[in-house]
Amino acid sequence: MTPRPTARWVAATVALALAAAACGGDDDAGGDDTAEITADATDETAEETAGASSDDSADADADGAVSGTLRIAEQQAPDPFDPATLSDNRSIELAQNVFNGLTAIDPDTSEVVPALAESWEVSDDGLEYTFTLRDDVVFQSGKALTADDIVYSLNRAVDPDVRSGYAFFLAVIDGYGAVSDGSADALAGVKALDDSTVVIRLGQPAGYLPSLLTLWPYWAVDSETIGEFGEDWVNPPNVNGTGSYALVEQTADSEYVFEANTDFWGDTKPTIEEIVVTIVPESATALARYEAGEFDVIRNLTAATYRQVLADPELSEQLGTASLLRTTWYNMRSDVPPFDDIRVREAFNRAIDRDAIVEIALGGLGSPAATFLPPGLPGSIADEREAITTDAEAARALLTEAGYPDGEGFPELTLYYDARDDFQSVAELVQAQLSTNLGIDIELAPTPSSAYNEMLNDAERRPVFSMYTFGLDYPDPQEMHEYLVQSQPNGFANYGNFSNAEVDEMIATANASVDPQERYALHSEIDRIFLDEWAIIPLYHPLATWLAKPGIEGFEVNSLYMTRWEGVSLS
Amino acid sequence: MIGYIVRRLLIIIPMWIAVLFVAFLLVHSIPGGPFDTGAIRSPEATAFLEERYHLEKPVWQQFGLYLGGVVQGDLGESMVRRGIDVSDALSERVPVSLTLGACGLAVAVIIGLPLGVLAAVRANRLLDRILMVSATAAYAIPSFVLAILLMLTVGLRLGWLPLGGWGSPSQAVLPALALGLPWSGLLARMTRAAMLDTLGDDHIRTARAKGASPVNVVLGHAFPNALIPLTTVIALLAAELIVGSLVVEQIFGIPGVGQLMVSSVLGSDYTMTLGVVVFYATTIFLANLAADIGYAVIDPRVRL
Repeated sequence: MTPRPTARWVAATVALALAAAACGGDDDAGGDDTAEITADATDETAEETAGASSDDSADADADGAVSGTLRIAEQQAPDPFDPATLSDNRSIELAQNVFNGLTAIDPDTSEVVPALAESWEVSDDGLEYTFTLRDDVVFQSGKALTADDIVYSLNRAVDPDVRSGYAFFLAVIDGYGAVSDGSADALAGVKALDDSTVVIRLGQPAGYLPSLLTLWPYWAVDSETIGEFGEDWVNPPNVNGTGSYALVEQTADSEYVFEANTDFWGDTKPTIEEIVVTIVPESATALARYEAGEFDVIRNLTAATYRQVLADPELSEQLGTASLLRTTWYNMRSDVPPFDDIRVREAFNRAIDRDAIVEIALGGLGSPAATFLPPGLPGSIADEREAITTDAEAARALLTEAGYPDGEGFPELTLYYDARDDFQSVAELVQAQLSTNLGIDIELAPTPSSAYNEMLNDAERRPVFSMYTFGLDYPDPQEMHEYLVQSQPNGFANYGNFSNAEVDEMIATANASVDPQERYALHSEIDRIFLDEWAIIPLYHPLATWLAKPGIEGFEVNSLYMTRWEGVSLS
Repeated sequence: MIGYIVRRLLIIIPMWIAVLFVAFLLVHSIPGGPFDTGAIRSPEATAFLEERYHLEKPVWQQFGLYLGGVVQGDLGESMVRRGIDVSDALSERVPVSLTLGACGLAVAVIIGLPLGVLAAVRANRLLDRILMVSATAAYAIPSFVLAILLMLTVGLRLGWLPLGGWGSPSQAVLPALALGLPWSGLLARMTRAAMLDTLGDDHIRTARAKGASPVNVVLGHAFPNALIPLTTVIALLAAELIVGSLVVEQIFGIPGVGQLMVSSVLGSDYTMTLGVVVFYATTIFLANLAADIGYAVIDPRVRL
């Protein structure tokens, strides 16, 4: 027969106790490991340094001498490290330390500077770019980089089977159409002249090409690595780039370990031997663990944690901020009432208090916007424009002129926005300001992200009043004006349906120019027209934030939200 | 009983198809798709991506294609996080959620059962009242509040335990407590009720009359019988703790299935969401089966 109930019960209890022991034991090991601030190398890393480098003196300036560990907390896990398929800041900011493009962005000036290409020339008609590669670049696998690798990488980025979401930017290259419809395997316009020369022939002028080539999908990857490992090439230790750090270990969505590439080609060499990136989704948790000494650097404070940091004298000394090449604004559809009347658009602009939005809704995490192109971007007119002042009286006068005295008879209006906490706070404040200053009561429609973006992209359902935020992918005004200001359908992300033939022509003229200064001047003029038309309500430029423990030098986030590890050192 | 278990396990196959079908319709009925991100993209590029993932086809055709893959053991590739296979993501995360759920269950049972028995033995006395008020309080505190309280006190103020992450056993303690403590309150109350029920039974009086020691009466005679109603609860609680660890995973930064669920639903990652749904449905199904089997094992009167 069956055993007595008591025996079974005892067995069950023992099993549970064992389970509890398995998950509860060994309390101090983890605590001690993580509580240490790693400015000084631990025994373990010191040994590795000795092994990895002939120079034992841990002198950061000596060539190839690396030491120490930097522990960074990031909010979201990166996707697999294949540049061609990346699409998100969280992945790109890590991957850019592993891979490089022909050109790069100077972190200080946001200008385009040489990277894998040491120089380039452009033909007089602006259609042919000749890039000369550095001769000292080797992949982390040890293979030397040649022009063939660049050709391979660009072809791979547009290969339909790779399914890059950013292939379309390269539509300016000759032969793009044939590759995208499958009738050709390679871009006719991209050729390797010799080992160190790549020629890119365009089908239409694009003076912004050097800037565009800083973009991640076009970074150099190694054909041999991809050929050998197939889809598995993105996993360590296979993943292979030319960057200052190599991904050596990963626990998916949890921890990523990078090791300094002592053969890195750049002028600034990596000095920290190991960088460990841990994923901590909650900002409050990240801050608590940072305070407990588990991390050396944390990023992306929320309004709440930002306030907490500002209130703490010690923490606020460790705070770093950078203004981003990003603008957040409200679109007003100028093709339909009530916003087809410029006076209504100006009234709305004048009724909104941007200082209050930044201070109250964002908790200080931004700066009030007066322009579309963010300050710091070539062509931005932020220097010449005054802040848009809040003037309820003038706004009401404009509204009366437009036929809506005190907001009377104003049609029902709904503001649509991505249902994020910060956008919600901003929208609530704007709702109150419009009610107070104009006498207009608007409805708020927070909408889940994918539903919201679908709505914006659908010409039939595009909201009359909607929010958008845009951060530049590469630092050139062309991106914002061509895709967000140019008339639909070419300006496919022009969600306010702004349409101005003169502006369209100026965008084409700017693209055709190979003189950067001339291009930037044209883009400044476009921005002036766009703003003078009161086409949008510029709101703010967000701020990037991070905390770094004392002793960590050079940790910075640039205006494109990127951080370069080779400039960081531990003292 | 073996025949019964095999029959029940076979039912799992049509159940998977049914659950997948409903979930498939639900995720596809959510406005917006996996490529409606905030990134700018030409309409042609979006159309191209949608075609690659068959999103332009009618939903029933898409379901057919998807099911065809599932039957061959292919749950597909994440639509949002390119290059990640759904089955790979699940195989990395399922053990984490199972471990966390098991630890939470251990907390709930180890605290809840003994205190429930103690309260029953001391029924309506001061100790009972204290225990029951505490149990109600524990049950009333949501896991996410408890998680943050534990983090701030035990983790940050006292510095005894790490505040988050996953990998070392010490990192499991706080999440397991946050997950298990509220349920230990419920279990304590249910154990007390079940014990009081059996303590009044005839066979307990008989045992007492035959001179069994009080400890033997309570643990040897009353408790095993009280366990019968508790078995079902504990089995279902196991499922609840595995499936419901979502918020705790998020707070402590534990890379489990719950985190995956949140991110994939928010990003309209159809394939990933369906993969997680399959896992959740299977967990709940197996927990129910375990409850039925546990019933038969503990109570000799039940024949399956």
